[in-house]
Amino acid sequence: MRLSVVFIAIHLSVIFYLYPSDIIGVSHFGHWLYIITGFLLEFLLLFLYLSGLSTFPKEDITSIVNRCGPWWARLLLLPLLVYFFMSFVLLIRSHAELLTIIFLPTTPIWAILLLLFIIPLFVAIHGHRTILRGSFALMITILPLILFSLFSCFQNINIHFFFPIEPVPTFWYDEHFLKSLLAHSPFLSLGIFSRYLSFAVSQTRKYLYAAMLFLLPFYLLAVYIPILTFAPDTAQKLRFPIPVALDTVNLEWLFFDRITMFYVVATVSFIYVNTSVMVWIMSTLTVNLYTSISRTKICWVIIGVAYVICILVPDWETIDWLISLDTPLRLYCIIFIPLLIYGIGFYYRRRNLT
Amino acid sequence: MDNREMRDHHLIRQFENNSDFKSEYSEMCGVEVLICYLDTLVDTAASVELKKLMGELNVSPESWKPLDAEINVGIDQLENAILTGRLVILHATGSLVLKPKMRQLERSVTSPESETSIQGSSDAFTESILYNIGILRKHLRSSRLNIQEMDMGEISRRKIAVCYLPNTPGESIAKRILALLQARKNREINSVQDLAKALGQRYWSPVPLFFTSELPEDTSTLLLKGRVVLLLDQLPFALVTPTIISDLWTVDSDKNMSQTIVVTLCALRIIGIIISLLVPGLYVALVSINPELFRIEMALSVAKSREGVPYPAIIEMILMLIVIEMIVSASIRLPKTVGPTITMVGGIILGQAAVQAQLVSNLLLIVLSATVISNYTFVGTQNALMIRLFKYCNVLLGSIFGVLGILAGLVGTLFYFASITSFQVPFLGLGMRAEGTDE
Repeated sequence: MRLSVVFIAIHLSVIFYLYPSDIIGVSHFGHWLYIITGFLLEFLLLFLYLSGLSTFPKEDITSIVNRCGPWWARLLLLPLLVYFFMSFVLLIRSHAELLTIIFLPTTPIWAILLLLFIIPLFVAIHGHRTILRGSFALMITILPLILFSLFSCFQNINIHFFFPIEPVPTFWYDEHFLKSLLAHSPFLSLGIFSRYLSFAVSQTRKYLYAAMLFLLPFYLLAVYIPILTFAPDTAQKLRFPIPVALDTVNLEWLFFDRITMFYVVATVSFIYVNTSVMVWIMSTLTVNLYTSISRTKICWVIIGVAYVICILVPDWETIDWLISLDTPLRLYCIIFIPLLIYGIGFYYRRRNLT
Repeated sequence: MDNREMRDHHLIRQFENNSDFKSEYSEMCGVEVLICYLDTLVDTAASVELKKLMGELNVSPESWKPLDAEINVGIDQLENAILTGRLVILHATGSLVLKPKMRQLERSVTSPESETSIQGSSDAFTESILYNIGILRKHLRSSRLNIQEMDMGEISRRKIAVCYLPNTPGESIAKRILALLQARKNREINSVQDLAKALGQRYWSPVPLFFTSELPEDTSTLLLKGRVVLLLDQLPFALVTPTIISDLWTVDSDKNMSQTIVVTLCALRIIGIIISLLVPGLYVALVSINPELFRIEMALSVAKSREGVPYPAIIEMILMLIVIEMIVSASIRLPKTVGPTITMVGGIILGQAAVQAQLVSNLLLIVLSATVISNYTFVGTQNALMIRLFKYCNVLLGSIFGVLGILAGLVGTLFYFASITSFQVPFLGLGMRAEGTDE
């Protein structure tokens, strides 16, 4: 159950990240179809991935792919490692940017980055149990905040902006849509958790599917709140549509002026969960595939390199460029890896039957 | 052994530099015996009576077997017997250990000193381990209650009792504890920290390894829930392990009231934890880094109350926090007669005068008093100290990073809690299940 909570947290961290502006960027109308398509795609991939993983209880993707030979495993999973590293750097760097804009205009970026890096380092060193327990406790504390801030946005919505509902049929190769798949990629991390939690137990899988369904309203809300508040045309021009939409909310009885605070607090805690998971995954992948150095040292190295890269990234344009660079890698990871795992699982199940 | 040999006995030499050690010759059926005891532990009347009894008895010391006596024990045990207030009779062919009437050196069972239960039994543990086990037995009348005692230490012997119920999660933990204690039998246990070290557990972390309780009622309920209880001789607390986060807000004697009340009280304590952990930091963050987050009316009133305060919010906060911590620490050590003075000095000087002199703002005092009060709403002395400590991290982070710093502090605290385990039972666990079984 805790895993599904982590699953929700890492999804929420990317849902509120670039997903809204990407989906709004696809076209002016019919966003529901793009959201549902992305969602169903992830559901399908999740299903394939989990059924592949459940064939091999107590094994993670590295040992599964290792059956094809150690060098194949290293080669096939290298993009995954690079992808995780890229998204880790981008996630932290762009949130540092967001925090500078919203909260700390005068604090130097290196200090904010330091704060964002220390906790994932600590958590990743302590391993998956700390991640599972800590995220569970954190979500209990934080989820009410994000729900509160999202629902308070209904104050300013105009339901007419929902129409027209006809989508653009060519959306699926739109650059924005492909970018938005970032919000559907976190399920990949389950492949490492599977060493510790058996997906062969149908209970675990049920919880994950339930978590996935739980996320659907968040995908919809993240896109439709800015659209219904500002109309699609305006929303398209905003870089951070949700914080701006939240800024319009005015609650008389609250002694805070900006609801945005709750939203940012919530998203940053999801970021903490997600980045901790990422660092843990990267270190585990590296230890399992490439070296025999202790995991703690690798965590330090990853954090150190990522910190330097984050400082070197000068502005938002560079982040945008890096994200678009990331797209082919992301497609490989979210489509090929589940299929690969499913394929290996399918092959071994067939072989065991005959 | 003749007279001279008896005088040279190992036991006599061991205690020869102790003025309260008495060794008296007596005669029993024509055989010379030596009665040894510590005057400070044994009631003197007992030895007089014993000598009288020996004079009247018509039996040799070798064949005398009174009830409740140990015969011909080893030298080590003789020493221990003397130290625990026994009478040792040395005679030509061996020794005899008798259990005489002892001096009353122990406090009798009284009401608790540092925690009180309003709707529960109000007896409390005392120094004597025998009393404590007895009280525990009274509260948990069950033949399944297992209590195993052990003497630890080489220089000073200290009795430790490990209590648990079989077929609960505590059983395996208790077995591990017993094995560890057995293996490190010669370690000196002078404090609970020594015990943690002997058990190979964390002794450095602010999250307590043992939940201490003075109330036998709560302790017995915790035993039933599968915890292990350690009783140390001369420590008027039960050490309950493993600790889990719900210890911060669960009081078992609450269950004597209706469930609605219990839930409300728990909620109150959780709010208390959140306030004492976050509010001082939030004050600093909102006043010095993110004032724009306040509503304008609120921001103005905050600014007004801080008018004329000559230093930044963090200095103001740290200064007052330290003074208040000192008051709290001082009032623990103060004699009861001087106590009210400190209250007055603290109240008048800190409250009224500091504000009038514009050294601190009114708002800060409100924040501080709320923090201090909420710090005593939740359960456990050590837990309160832990939250008091973590609060400072939040104040510091808040003064550098504003609201984001507070969040980082909260997330850091939670993940730190998540990384803590005692005897493989996670601190942030849902109950007593060991690590890896509840994922």
